[in-house]
Amino acid sequence: MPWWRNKEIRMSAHHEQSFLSKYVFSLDHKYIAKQYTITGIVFAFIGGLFAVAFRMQLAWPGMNIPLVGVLDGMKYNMLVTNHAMIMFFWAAMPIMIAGLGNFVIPLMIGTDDMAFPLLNMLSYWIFFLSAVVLVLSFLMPGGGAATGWTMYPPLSATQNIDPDAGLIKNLFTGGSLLILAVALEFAAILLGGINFLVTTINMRAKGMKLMDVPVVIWMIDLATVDFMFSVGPLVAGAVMLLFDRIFNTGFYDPARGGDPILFQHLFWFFGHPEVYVVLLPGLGIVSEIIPTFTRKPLFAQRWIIIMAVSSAFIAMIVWAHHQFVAGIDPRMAEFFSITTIIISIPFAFIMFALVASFFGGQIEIKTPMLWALGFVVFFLVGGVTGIYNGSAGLDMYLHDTYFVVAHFHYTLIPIVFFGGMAGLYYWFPKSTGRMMNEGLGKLHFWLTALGLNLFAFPLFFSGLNGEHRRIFDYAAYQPMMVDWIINIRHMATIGAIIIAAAQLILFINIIMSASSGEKAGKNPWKANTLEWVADSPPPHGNFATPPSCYRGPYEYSNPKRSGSDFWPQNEQ
Amino acid sequence: MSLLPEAYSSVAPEIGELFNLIFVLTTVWGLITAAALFYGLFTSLKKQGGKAKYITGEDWAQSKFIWIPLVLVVLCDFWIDVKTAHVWSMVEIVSEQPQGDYDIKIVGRQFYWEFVYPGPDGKLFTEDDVSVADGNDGELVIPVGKVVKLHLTSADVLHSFFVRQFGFKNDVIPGRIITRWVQATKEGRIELTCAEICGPNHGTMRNWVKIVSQEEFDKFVKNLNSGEVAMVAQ
Repeated sequence: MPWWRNKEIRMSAHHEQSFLSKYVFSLDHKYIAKQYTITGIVFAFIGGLFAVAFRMQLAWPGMNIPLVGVLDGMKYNMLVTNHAMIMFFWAAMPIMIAGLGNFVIPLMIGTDDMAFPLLNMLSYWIFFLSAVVLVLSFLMPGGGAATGWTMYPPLSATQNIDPDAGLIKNLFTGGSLLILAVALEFAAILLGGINFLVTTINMRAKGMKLMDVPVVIWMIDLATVDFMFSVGPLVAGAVMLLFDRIFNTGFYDPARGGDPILFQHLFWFFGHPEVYVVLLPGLGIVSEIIPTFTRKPLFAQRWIIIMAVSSAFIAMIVWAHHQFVAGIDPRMAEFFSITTIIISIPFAFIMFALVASFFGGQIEIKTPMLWALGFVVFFLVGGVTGIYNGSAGLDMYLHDTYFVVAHFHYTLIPIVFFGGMAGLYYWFPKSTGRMMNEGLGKLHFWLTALGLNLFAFPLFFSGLNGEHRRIFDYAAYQPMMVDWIINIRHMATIGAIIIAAAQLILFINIIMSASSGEKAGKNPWKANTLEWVADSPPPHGNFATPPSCYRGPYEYSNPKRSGSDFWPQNEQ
Repeated sequence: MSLLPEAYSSVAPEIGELFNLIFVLTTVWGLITAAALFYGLFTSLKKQGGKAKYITGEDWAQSKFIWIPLVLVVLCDFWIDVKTAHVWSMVEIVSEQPQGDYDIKIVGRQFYWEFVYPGPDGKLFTEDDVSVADGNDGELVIPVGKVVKLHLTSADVLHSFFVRQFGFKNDVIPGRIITRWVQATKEGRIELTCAEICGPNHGTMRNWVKIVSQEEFDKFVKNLNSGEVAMVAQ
C-alpha cells in the first residue's frame, strides 16, 4: 500500500478539528482553496479600486478622487505599478493557481487531500505574509513602488534610495519591500506547485490513466511546471535588484560595469511564461464547462493537451518580444518575433477545438456556460491583437501605447476574470452545497462584459493613434487632447467603473446563495468528473470510499450508454 | 481615415503596410472564428427531447475541420513573419541601414531631452560638439529628405525616444549608444515623447522635432557653430 493511502498517517483521516485547525490553520485542501480564493478576491478588489482611481485621473485630470485625493505623477505611477502587481501576483495567481488547483485537483482525481497537507498550509500562510509585506510597502516613507510593474532599473534600483542611509533604511522603502513581497509570494506558489505535481502524479484514483485526467488539471500542472522553470532567473534578478538597493551594489548600473538590460531578460524570462501560468488554468476551466453544458465530448481532447504542452514550451522562448525596442541586438528580435507568432498555432488549434465542440450539441446556457462563452469570444479579440504586438516591425510603433494596454486587458480579463468566474459559478455548488442565483449571475456577466468592452475596445484606437501609456496628464500633448481621444478616455473610465460596480452583484449573490441558495445535491450539472461523486460540500477526506476510474472525463451522449446522456468516470 | 497617424518618415508607410496586412489577416480570421462560434452555438441550443451528437474529434473525418484552417493560419503566420522581417531589418539592423548624411546624438535625461550636434568640424563625438537643449526649450531640428543618424543614449534611467509620425520608438539606455536612422519626408513640427516610465515627471517629458528645408537647416547649423544658439520659437 502506498503511503498516501495509509489512513494511519493521513491527516485527512482525523476528522475531529478545533475551530483553529478547521478554519485558520486548516490542513484541508478545500479550506486552503477558500482561503486563497477569498484573499485573492479581496486583493482583486483593491487592485480594481486602484485602477478606477487612476482611470478617473485620466478622464478628469486633477479631480479630487474619493479616498485617494488629487494625484500627482508619483502617486499616479504608484497606483499603476501596484495595480498590475496586485492583479498578477495577489489576485490572478492565488485564485487561478492556488485556489483553483487546491480545490479541484484532489477532488477530480478522486483522492482524500493533497500529498503534503502541512506544506499546503504553509504555502497559504507564507502567501498571507507576502500580502502583509505588500500592504506595508504602501505605507513606507516615499510611498509604494512607482516604477511600473516591470521594475526596470536603473529607476527601480534608485527610487527612494539614499546610498548613505544604510541597509535598514533602504530596506524599508516601497520598492525594496515590494521585491520581498513578490519573493515570498513565489515561495508560497512553489510550495503549492510541488504539492500539485506530486498529488497528480501519484494519487490518482485506481484506473485513472493520464489521458483520463481532466483537462483543467493538465492545464494547472502545466502552468505549475512553466512557473517552476521560469521563476528561478527572476528571483536571481530580483535579488540583484534588492542588493543594488540596500547594499549599493552595481549589478544594473552601467557606470559601475552593470547592465540594465540584464534585468529585463531575467524579468521577462519569467514574465512571459507567467502570462501562460494564468492563461492555462482559465482555458482548463472552460474545457470542463463546455462539454458539460453542450452534452458532448471535448473536441480533440488529446490534441488539446498536446497543443497545451507545446504552448507551455514555446512560452519559454518568446520573452524578448517585450524588449524589441529596448536596445537588444536587433537580430534577436527576428527570432523572437517568429517564435511569438508561432505560439498562435497551438492557441488557434485550441480555440478552433472549443468552437468545434459546440456543433451538434444540446447547449444549455446556464451561468457558468455564459462566462465560458464570454471567455472564448473576448479572448479571441485578445488573441488576434497579440499578432500586432508580436510582429517586431509593427511593435516598434505599438510598444508602450494604449494598444498594448487594450490587448493585454483583452487577454487577462477573459482569462482570469471570465475564466475564474466560470469556475466559481461551476464549482460553487460543490464547495458550499448550494446553487448560485442564475438571474444575478447572468446580470453580473452582462454588466461585466459591457464594462470590459467599453473600457478596452476604444483603447485600441487611441493606441493606434500613438497615445503612449503611463502619462498621468495629457495636457502637454496637443495631438492627444483632441475630442475623440478625450471621449475614449471617458469611455474607458466609465467602463472600468462599471466593471468594479458589477462586482457588488457577485458579493450579494455569494452571500445570498451560500446562506439560502437552493440545495445542490451531489451532481447538479450532471457532469462526469469525480468531484461530483463526493457530497456537496465534501467532508474532510472527501470520499467515503475512494472512487475508481473507468473512462475519460468527457463521455457525454455516448451511444453505448443507454438511458442517460452522461457517463460518470467512476461508473462501470 | 487611416488608423495610424500621418507618415513623416520614409519607413512609416512601410510600417503602415505591415499594419494593414496584419489588420486584414487577423480581422478575417477573427470574424470567421466568431461566425463559426455563433453559428455552432445557435444551431445547437437545447431542444426538447433532442440528443447531442457523440463527436470526439479524434479521427480525420471530424478533425479535418480544424486541422485545415490551422494549416492556413500557419501560412498566414509565415506571411506576417516575412513582412515583419523586412520592415524590422530596414529600420534596426545596423548593416542594412543607409549611409547617413548627418549625425545627431540624443540624450534622455530626467525629465527632458538633450540634442548634441556636430561642431564646426562636422563630426559627432568630438570635443567641439554643440549641445543645444539643456532644459525643455530646445527642439530637435533635422533636414527634410536627408538620412539622419540618431545616436540614442541616456544620462540617468531608461527613457524611450518616440515620434509617432516617424513610426518607431527606441529605448535610450545609460551606458550604451544605439544608432537608428530617420529620413523625414515632409516639413513640419511634430511631437517627441518619452515612452518608457522614467519617474514622477515622465508625463511631462515632451519635446518637438522640427523638420526644415536644407537651406533653413544650413542656417541653423551655421548659427549653432557661431555660438549663437538661436532656438526655434515655440
